[in-house]
Amino acid sequence: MRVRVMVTEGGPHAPETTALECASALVSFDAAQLTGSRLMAAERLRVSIAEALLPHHEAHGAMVREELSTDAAEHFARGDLHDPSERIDQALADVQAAADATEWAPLFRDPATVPALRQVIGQYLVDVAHMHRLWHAQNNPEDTAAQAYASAPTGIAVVGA
Amino acid sequence: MATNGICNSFKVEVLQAAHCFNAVVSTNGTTHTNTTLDGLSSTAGIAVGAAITGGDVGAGAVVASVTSASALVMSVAASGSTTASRTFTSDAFKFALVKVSPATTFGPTMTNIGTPGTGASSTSNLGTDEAATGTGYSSGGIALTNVTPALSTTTATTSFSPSPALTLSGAFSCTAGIIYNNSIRLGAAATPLGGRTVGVYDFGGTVSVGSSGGTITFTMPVNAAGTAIIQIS
Repeated sequence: MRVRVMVTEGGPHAPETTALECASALVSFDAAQLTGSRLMAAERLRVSIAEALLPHHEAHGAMVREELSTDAAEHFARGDLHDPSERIDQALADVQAAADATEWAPLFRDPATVPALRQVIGQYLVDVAHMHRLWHAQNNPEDTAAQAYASAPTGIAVVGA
Repeated sequence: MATNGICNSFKVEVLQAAHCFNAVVSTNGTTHTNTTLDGLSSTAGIAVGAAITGGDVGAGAVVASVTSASALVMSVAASGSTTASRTFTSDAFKFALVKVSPATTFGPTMTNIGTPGTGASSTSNLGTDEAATGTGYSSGGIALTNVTPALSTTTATTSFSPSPALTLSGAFSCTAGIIYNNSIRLGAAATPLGGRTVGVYDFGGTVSVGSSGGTITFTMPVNAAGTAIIQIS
């Protein structure tokens, strides 16, 4: 039940930051327990997964920013504010492909593991969108819908479905 | 520095029906210039005490009782007879942040958030141990969005989504977070009646951004048995 903390100086998290953090949540290991080639392989896997996630984080953030700049009122009025489910399937497939050449490949395709993978991938996409909405609210104090969202975020989270 | 853990008082309060983590429910329903609200497609996820808004629902109305799978009784009579979307909101939880080097080491013995920003800190008051406000953090903490509790194998879990985050215009630092219930569901011998703490979460060190500001996201763990931010096994 630990809370992971992500910090970025001077602005919003870059997609590289969120992708790497998501990869770290997906490939969580104790470096003291892994040595030599296995430690190197685990670190490579983490980076490979971050690279697989990066285009999804870039695209999701860009989509939200575009919607906010085009018609923020319509964006905030929608009921599916936090629903990244369209993107989760492909992101999961890319993560599994990144793990395929490693000794941990079976874990990433284990039906018992997949729901948790989906949930982690989905949560970070939800949080990317949330962050851009918060920055929009901060930079647009006259946008009442954005201010209402920032003070009490709404929308049903669809993660791990 | 804080000690991770679910608050002891919270464990008791769960058995006293003092916390409701259900997510917001919106569904069409019909009012009748009395306290009946019927014609609901479902009452799933709607608990006694949930705030009701929408259309001619009376100000301050909450669910007094659920009478069937499609009807309930409100605490306040409606002002008209209409069929419209109604929104049911369960308890409001918040995530308050603890400053660097607090006077009190917060942990599972904490019972109430008290008056953040004011007064000496204790196990019943965050007080002046709250993180500094003004650059993007507001006293009392960050509003959380509920995720309806569910079963993960044999463990009940819940979480909050999106994860709480801060967009900061200047320097800020903190070391721990405290989840608390900002709604009143249970009487007490002393005030405040709200602010019952749920859990304390140490960040493992100082979390900070400099004078140019930035973003801090407190990512919720996987909402499953063994990892969820709140779970009963």
